[in-house]
Amino acid sequence: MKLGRFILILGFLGVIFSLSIASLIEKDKAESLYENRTLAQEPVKDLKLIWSGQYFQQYETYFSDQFVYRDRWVRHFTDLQMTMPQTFINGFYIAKDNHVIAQPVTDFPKQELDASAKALNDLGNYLQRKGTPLYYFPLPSKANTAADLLPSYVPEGRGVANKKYLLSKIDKKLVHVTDISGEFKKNRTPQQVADLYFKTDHHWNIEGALLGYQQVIKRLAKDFPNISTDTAKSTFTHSCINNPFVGSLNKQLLLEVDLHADKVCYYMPKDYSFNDYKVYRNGINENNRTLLQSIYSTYKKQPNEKIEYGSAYTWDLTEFNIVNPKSTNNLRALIIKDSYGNAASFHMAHHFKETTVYDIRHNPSRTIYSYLDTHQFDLVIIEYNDTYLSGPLFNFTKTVKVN
Amino acid sequence: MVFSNLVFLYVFFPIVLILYFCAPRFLKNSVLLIASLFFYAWGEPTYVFLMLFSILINYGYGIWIESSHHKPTRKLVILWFAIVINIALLGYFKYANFFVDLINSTLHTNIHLEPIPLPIGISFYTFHALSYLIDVYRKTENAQRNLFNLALYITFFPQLVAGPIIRYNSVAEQLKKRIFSSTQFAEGIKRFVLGLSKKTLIANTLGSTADKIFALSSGDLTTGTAWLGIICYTLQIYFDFSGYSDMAIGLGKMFGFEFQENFNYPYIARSASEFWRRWHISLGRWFRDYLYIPLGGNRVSHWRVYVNLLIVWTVTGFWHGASWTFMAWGFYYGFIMCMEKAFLEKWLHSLWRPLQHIYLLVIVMVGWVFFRADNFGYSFNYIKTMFFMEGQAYNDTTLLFLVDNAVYLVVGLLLCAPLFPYLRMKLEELASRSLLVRYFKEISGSIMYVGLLLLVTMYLVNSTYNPFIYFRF
Repeated sequence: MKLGRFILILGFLGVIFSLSIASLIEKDKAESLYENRTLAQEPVKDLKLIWSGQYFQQYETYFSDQFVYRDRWVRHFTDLQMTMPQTFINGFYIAKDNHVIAQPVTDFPKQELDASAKALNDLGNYLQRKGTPLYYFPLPSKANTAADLLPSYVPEGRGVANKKYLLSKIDKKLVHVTDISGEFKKNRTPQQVADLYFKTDHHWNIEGALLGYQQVIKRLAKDFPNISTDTAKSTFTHSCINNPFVGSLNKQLLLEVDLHADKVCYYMPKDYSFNDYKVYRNGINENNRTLLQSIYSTYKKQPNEKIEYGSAYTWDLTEFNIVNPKSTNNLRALIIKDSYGNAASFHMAHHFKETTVYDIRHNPSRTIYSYLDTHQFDLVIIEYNDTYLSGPLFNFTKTVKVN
Repeated sequence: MVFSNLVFLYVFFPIVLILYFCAPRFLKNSVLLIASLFFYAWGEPTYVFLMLFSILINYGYGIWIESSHHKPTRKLVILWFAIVINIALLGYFKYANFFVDLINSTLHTNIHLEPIPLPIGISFYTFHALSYLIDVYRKTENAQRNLFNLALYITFFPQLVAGPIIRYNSVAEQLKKRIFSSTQFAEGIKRFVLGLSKKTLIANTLGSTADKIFALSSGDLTTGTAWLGIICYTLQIYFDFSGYSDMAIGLGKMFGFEFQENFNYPYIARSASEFWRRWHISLGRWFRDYLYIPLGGNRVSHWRVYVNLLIVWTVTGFWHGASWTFMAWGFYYGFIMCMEKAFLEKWLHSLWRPLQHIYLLVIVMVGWVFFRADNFGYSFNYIKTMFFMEGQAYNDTTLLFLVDNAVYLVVGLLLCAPLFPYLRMKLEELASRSLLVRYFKEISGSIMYVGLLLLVTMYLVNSTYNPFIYFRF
């Protein structure tokens, strides 16, 4: 029949040509918000590249990265996946209450774990010679701790076993290791454990952060009796805001989960104030003095402003320093952390005279050793979440560059 | 370049369509030839010269063979010489490393040969060239005097990379003369979109699961997982290969060519012999006409027929890849066909029909284990696990794979049977009785194909979705 044929030919050619022309005329984008990466740009027309075949590969990457309405296509794909009986969508399980849980890791990177243990032992040895104790807290991550929310048929991941393996390889005479994950699960149902974390983000929420902070201070106070232990919930005022929250896991799902699934909350101290602190960026020096608000809870306080974990608490920064004039001790603490440490770094500062918060990923021009060679601390604390057990963050002898 | 790629769909193909349909009739073949060379050079810029060399020498051999028709011995010598040269080219690129390894292991020598990259499509274009030469030798066709037309036959991009193996005599006329028809063009679109959907929506998805399962160590395999893995692979290879053939046939139609069918629902066969009459038909026919029959075919003694079958099927296996597992896979089919020829097929056909289908499916799936696995050790372990001789019956991994692939498995299993033609036939019956149904069928059918194209685009864009896992820190 002619009508059917006409619709088919016109429809087919229409799709092919319209998407082709739209992709070619649309302005190239530099980066993708959802994929959190830079997008490929048009490759250079170089004879060597063409001859080797690399030009064609690069062009394919460029064309697909810049394909018209790329984010929309991916979002529709995610929508489709969500309507199908898929356990993991883009690598994540969405529980009934919108808790997004990452697919458990299944590999056992023995060599990398051995390298991490060696790096920690070497650093502990180096610090011991300087008379500084090293503390390593593998913070309980959502992926490992809230995995009980996954359907019963999902095979148990290797995350916890990998952590146990790493901890078993650390020399306890050189590094004080404390696994606080037991406290997270103690007397809690799987749902209550999951509620210590943001539903749509891979980080802990303020409940989890406070619990983690309490356990870290409890452990440090054993070795440093001058450290105050006023960490009970009752010493804080609890408050929440209703802004939409853009969780990191939700971003991976193209923000298909409700932005109000999570609430950002705070525990602010009753007996002291973060405003009492002197805050510095990149070293304690009057020229580096900055405001608390430029580091902590940096969102603009607009009613419908979208908030992320970083803007709710603290972004990952090269180095910032907090001086607590009201400290009951003279301890200088260095906290080497990943983003899990950001929610409670100002709480931590209450317990020391000087607290330096250092992020290896944002120090591309110096290694942690070169930094420690020129700075003196009374204790060094490493706080990495326990999905991150190996890789660049344990490269203490090399600089790390993360774009 | 492959068809299931955004650059092909939205850059290469629209440009070729415009150039082809704007070009005057005498330039249409040249447009297709240039497009085909560009298509090949996209992935393999250097090997395009190897292909051109192959075309040039075969062009010369064809004319030389034809000019020697009156001297049969000379003609035969030229043909054999041409075959040896073609096979030598294929052999060097595809099998040299295999034979060097074989010599080193049997003679304990230490010959070193750097791994030779395999030029894409060399197995297909070599067989095209041989088909041309043998057809000229047999006087089925005249030698092609127009170099560009011969080049187009060998390089035509729809069938260049993965077939079907087009026999020269089936397209010789079409190279000279084609008439555009909107019916043929529309049929081509349907076939192309159907093939693209088979490849992108089903084969790629199930293939990714098959890859994960075949990457499991023998210790992690359970009977359930092993069966799921091989079912996924069985569906993947069918939808991948038949999808590619559909795309080739569809593209051919859009440019006015008619290619022979390459698949005919092979998994509904009831014996291995029938399976191979339905699977990769063009390859089966090629080997039948150019190897099995010249060896004597069925017109020799019983034992010789069996030997011929074993030779043909072992060579067929070897054609698929330079490894012992491929050869074993070919020999396996040769052996089963001998058994079927001797007594098995007769006995099978006396059984309840579903049992005949089960027999074939088990035979095929066991064969695919050799085809898919990297070595014999893994293959045998895998088969033992499939039949409860190793590992547990199932575990959580089995259930996870089952849940996550359920939809694709059901769709795949349904489409392996001729359900689609059956529904179309029923709809046509209804349409013949009612004008309204006819309109509905035509319009909804056309919309469905355009919808499938958009769905495929969505899958292709998503396949490049690559979030940077910074969040793990």
